[in-house]
Amino acid sequence: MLLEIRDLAISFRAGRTLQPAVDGLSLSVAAGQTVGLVGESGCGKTVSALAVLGLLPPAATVPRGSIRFDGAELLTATPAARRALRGARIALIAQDPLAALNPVHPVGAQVAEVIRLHGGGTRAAAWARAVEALREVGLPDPAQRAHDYPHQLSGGQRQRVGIAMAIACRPALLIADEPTTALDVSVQAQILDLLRRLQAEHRMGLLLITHDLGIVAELADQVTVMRAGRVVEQQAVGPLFAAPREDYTKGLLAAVPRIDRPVERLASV
Amino acid sequence: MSQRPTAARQRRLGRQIATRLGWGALTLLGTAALLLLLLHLSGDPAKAYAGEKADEATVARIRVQMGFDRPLAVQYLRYVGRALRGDLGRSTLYDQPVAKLLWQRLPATALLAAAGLAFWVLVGVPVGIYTAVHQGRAADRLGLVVAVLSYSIPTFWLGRLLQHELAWRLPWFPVGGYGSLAHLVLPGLTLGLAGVGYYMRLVHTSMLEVLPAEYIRTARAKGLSEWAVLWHHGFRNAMLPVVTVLGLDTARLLGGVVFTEAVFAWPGIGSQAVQAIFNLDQPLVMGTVLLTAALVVAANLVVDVLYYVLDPRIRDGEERH
Repeated sequence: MLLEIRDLAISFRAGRTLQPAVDGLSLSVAAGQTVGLVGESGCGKTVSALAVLGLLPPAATVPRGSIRFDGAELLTATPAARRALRGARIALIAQDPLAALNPVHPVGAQVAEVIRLHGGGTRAAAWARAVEALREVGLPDPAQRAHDYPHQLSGGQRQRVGIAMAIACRPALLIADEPTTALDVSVQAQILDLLRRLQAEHRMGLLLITHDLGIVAELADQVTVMRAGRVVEQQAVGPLFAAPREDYTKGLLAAVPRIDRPVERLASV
Repeated sequence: MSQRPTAARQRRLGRQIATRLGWGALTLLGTAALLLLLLHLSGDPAKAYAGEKADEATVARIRVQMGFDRPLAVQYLRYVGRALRGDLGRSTLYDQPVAKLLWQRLPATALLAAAGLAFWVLVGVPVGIYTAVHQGRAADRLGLVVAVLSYSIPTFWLGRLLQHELAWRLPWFPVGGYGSLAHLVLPGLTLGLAGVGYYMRLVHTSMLEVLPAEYIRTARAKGLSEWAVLWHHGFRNAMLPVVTVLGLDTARLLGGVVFTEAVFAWPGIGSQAVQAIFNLDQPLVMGTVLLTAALVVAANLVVDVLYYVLDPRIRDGEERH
């Protein structure tokens, strides 16, 4: 198994009390598999992803649980060992591509940075590979656009840069945190297609964090539904949509607006 | 969203520089007018030049000689006309051309200014970054106390204290004067300590604005070392306000480091300006203040160009985010 999370708990220090954010999350992602992590905002999805990356804010603690990557425990690994994994073997695609790219560096340099960090080699070689990565994610005219700054690109192009940065070192596990939420609907479909294609080509494990059940239905093999830090339901995607076991999941599904039926009011969860 | 709008960018930058130069010239003309008026109100320069004991006739002769008897408007126009040809008049105190006096004193002031600025940057930037990262912890609180001390202790008192401790009680450095590297240590330290607190807090605040940004998390997610995250992604974005203040401070210092130069008998523009003021040396005071004003105008221009280099969004004429 590529990623195996067992009974993970995460709390935040708030003054003298500990505020639990995640309580007993277990899930696993195999190579080539897509696992959807679904829930409302604040349910602990993003925090769980940050724990996998080792990027929890200083106020967070992990009182119990285990995160194993390729068989090795991450929670007890040294910061240097975790840093060596980040960007190389485990990569992150952020939600808002404009905010996630540094405004003062050309996008090509931001992709080349991660290549050079983990692969070594000369600046020129890293740049050439960065242009290749930008071509792979479908950025038009990548040799030219690599010199552009984030503000000169459109939203979809920026997210392509974010994806190029994430896949540049051929990671085994990709964590996508709401990868299409900040994009126009027409662009969303293109980005999802791109993710699906890249994942199939490189047999990456994909942990897909979203509140959008439509995206889950399109991409995911397995689904974990979270609510208020706890796992509500865990199933393969087919059965989950066909026959959700839990009331909360039924509520979530019912709250998705339907295109084939007129609705008076949107349902609430 | 267009491809490489280089030509448009260069045109925009050229236009901006031209506009700035125009405003700069107006600023200098206005400063000269205001100065002449203030100096006219503050005393009779002819009397100061002639000396306490001179009789009325001598004073009157000098007044005519130096042109102080003409209407202010005429004096102003004559001054501007000469200044445009590089003639800032003659000092009544030293009886030498003002331009020459300023030019002679500039290297000493520039040396002291460079020492102070180097101290501010080399100490203020790392400390500011460190306290921002350790916000709220003991190091941050200590940094705050040091910063407040730094900008509330008067320079002349700090200078005297260093003189007393490091030149008199422990005779390590010269008490004052100019000529060797040892002479530079105490005035440089005085100027450095007096200003470094401001930079510590400026960098601190600016870093605090940048650190929560999502691109900092992206940088960490790439596996970059904390040093690379803070420097290459953090400070690179946090440095714009620092550059602004640094530019203006450079101009301010080059126009004379008044207190520090006075305490350490440093032969710079500042100590000369003090003499000029005490002796009502109108041409020298005007020349010194106009030099400072010109430096500030130039520094503003340099800062604008640096912004253009440092922030690609400004290159495309966007508002700062």
